[in-house]
Amino acid sequence: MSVLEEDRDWLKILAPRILKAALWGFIMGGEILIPLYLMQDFVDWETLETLMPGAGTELPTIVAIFVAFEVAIQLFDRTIFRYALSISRTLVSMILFIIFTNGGIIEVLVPSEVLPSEAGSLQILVDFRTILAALLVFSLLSVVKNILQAVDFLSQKAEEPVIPPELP
Amino acid sequence: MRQSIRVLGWTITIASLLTFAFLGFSIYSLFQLVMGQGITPGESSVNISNGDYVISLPFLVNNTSYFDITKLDITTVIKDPKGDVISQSTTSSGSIPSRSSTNISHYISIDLSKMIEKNLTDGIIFMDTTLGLRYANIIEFNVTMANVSIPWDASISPKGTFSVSSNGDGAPFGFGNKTNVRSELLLCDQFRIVEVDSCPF
Repeated sequence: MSVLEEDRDWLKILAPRILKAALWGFIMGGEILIPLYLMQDFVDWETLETLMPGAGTELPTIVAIFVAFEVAIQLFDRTIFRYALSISRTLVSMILFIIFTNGGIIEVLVPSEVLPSEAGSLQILVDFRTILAALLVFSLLSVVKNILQAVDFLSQKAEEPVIPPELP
Repeated sequence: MRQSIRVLGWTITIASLLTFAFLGFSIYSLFQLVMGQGITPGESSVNISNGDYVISLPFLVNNTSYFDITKLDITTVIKDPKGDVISQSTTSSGSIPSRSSTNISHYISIDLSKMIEKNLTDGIIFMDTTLGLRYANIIEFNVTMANVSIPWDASISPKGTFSVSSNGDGAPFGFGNKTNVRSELLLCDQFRIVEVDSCPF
């Protein structure tokens, strides 16, 4: 097999994966980055920062992290790394959920400039820890699902010990 | 095994989506309730009873939202200019089901003897108000308006001025009401009015 043919074989394998990864990356967050980039002058980052401390200004970074995870997962499709990456993504999302919602308690302090002069300060607090706990339980179930998928994948591999057909 | 994993995956996805939808919908509904006409204050009144200056604040809570209000607390704290607490009052209501309304009266009681002790005359007092409610059994919501300044001077009624001494001990005391609420002198057994510039009663 010549080097050229070998390159073509690799291209045949990688091209659909890269396309699929790009598509899924776009669906899973890429489309959020485009308006954020286009409207960065219009977005009120200070309000976002007040609502979700830390998340406001870091929103594009967070979306980029999830897009990177999705692209990597799609690129490593049909390998064990896919499941490891899925578990990592779930754990990262759990941690980000807790950090950016301040443990399920969002506190907004309305600036005194927008209030009447006799009013001192206005503070709004929303406590949704129960719902956050439910979402974290779902995330843990997702981790369990990924582990089961990884076990299933490995057992399939063990039953059919063949060289992966896609590798030349 | 593969089928059961797939079912688990779909279950997690659907449950997560439903939870997010519920969270978004309930917070939206809650803001509509609080920022709209859900909680409307009625006409407040002031009474002096048993040496206490009692301000009555009625509220009509009209729960037009899709979820029950499980608990509703109204707390007010009155502070002097130094920040010392003069009075603290809390009113709690029971469950207010969806599509129903209820009336709540919140009473702020100020012990006038405390005011005498503090020798509080003309000036400004501060009030912290907290509205706390538990919504849809899950979400807790609190709005706190702190350090609202209220003018306080030596006129009990918008129409006149009273000078009051405590139990005849001669400690002069002035208390006031510059708000646009009705004032009534119901009981004055602990105080002796020594001078009345103008009495509406």
